[in-house]
Amino acid sequence: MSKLRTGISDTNLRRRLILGSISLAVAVSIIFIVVAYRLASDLAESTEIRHFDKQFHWLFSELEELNKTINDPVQQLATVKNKFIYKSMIDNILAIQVLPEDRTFQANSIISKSPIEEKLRSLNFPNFAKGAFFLEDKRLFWQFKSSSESQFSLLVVYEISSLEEALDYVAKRLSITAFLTFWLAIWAALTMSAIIAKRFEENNQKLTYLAMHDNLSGLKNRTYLHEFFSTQIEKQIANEPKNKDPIGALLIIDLNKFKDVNDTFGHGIGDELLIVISHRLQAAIDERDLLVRYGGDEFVIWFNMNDTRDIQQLVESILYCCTQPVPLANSQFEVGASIGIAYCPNDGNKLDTLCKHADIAMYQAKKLRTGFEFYQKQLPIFSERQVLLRGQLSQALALQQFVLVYQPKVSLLDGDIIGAEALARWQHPVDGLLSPAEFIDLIEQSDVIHSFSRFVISEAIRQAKEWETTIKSIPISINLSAYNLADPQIVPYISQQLDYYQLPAHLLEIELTESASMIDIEVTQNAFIALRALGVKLSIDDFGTGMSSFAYLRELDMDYVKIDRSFIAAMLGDKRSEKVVKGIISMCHSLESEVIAEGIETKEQAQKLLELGCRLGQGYFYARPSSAKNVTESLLSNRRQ
Amino acid sequence: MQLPQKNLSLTDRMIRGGVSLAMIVFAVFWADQIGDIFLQLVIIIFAVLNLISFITGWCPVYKLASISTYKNKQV
Repeated sequence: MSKLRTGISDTNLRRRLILGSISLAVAVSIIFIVVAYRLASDLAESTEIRHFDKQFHWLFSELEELNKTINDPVQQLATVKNKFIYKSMIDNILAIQVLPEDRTFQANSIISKSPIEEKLRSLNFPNFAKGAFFLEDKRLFWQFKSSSESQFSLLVVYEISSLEEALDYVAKRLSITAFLTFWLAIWAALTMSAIIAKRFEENNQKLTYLAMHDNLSGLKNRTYLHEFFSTQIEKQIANEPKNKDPIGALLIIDLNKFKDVNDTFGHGIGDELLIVISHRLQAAIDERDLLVRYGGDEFVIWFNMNDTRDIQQLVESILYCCTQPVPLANSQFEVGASIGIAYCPNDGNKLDTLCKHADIAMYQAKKLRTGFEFYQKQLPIFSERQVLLRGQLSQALALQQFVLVYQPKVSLLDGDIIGAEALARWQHPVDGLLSPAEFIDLIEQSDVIHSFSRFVISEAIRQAKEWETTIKSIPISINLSAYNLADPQIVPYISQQLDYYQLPAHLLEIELTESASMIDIEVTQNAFIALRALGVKLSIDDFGTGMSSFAYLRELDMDYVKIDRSFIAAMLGDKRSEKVVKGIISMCHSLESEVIAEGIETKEQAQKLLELGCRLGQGYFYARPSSAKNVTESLLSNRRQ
Repeated sequence: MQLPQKNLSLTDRMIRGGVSLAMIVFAVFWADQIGDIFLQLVIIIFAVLNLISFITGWCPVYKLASISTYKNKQV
């Protein structure tokens, strides 16, 4: 499977980091050079001025001494200059003036004396003064001193050469240092930017991984599937618009009994089971195929038509790996799977359409227990409708679209109503009143099962209380499946509702609907023991049809056993069926359980059942399931008789 | 011992070779222009490091930065 794009590129970030670091290095280098230059020039100037200051005082002392013997200032200077110690000093002096007799300057040739004269004439000298000024781009320093004892003064102008020297140093050493610093800065910038960009990329990859993968199984998730489909499959379809052959197939895999395991043994075991199944599925597919955890216990496989194997082989291997027992927590779990397959682009060229069609096919496979089904356009519309209904369950529950109807149970001897079975109906806004056959399976496979059961329990208890208060005490039975009994909160909820409505517990009867997905009779038994402790009546529904009916009867202490309608319907014309019914009645009586015959439709059936020893029954012969209001009227007329 | 994988292109190596040679010549023959023995030493160290990169075709900084100019490819 080729790699998908992983999000933001780090090239820009890296370029910016490098440019930023280099700019910083350049800025630091410039600041460093300027500061170093200023520091060097200030230091040099200060040293030079101090040095000149000393020389000035020596020269002044020498000239003051000569002034006593030689009157001519020019001659004085010439005499001083002849002394070796002052020669170099006087050579560096730009201008010198010995006052007051001579008002002219002696100047060296490097600078014309008139501007200096002009500048200095404007200054008013006290006995001692010194200062600096710029002239013709030269920094000049002057110093003046007059003798207090004689009429002798000295003014000297000196050029400060430290600026040029500082510049010279900077030009050499600092330039080399700056070059090396700059080089180092580039290296540092490269390294730093690479490290930061690498960390950024790592974080980016981690985030991308988290966004595209399922935390539990480590498989790709739904987001990845959408990305994969839009970037690869849809492009492929667009490139080959005339291709009629399928380019791939979308398989939706739903684990059949995962919910049972999750509800009964907890999410920990459920998660471990999912991980094991994920690994098995991953091992079962080709590397060109894509396995995605679509959510909950649903997986999606994108099957590439270039795969060396046939799709049938893939499906068989998936079914095989899902049906193999998974050893967890000292138990063996067999979950099984149902697979729906939709071809692309034949059954849809968009992911949503393909998923919908594969879902319909999967649901068909689940319903027919065939393991897998291919999507066919002519599949009964019922499947699509069921998919739609499944999506509407939560909303229906919230909008109170589910209602209870009641079918009376009667005494076969006199027809008195001795109880009622609560049955759910869905008052669908579009499809009208739906029977349980159309939605109970959907509810049992969905997340609303517990909320739905609580609604049924609460409503039945409320109705039983209403009848107890207004007409007579009759028990109401409700149907619960093994799914419900696996819910650890179900018994406390029943107890709480009985307390809330102040209903005696014996007026509530729980009918255990046998389910092929029944996992652990021990769990059911514990729930039944708890219910019995509350005082709730218990019965087994549709007795004789399921594989574990007798196991229930042996393990669980039942108040009632309801014989399945199929035995009653066949009883009159078939001696064997009659014997079976007779045997069941006899066996139940010996186990001290009362027998209720279901589906009594004729008077003959009722009479035969009475002959066989059955005293209770229900069926269309007596009453169809109807609203609480109708049953109330029946109860009232029953009481009047 | 395994030699590190090259990460310098021919141009990169040539530039480094030229720069290091120029630096050595400058540091040795124009020492008075530099005027500082410390600076002279630093230049020589730099030059030698670049010379090693030129000879081996491998730059430790590039390695650290995950950069490669070898065959104009980024690793």
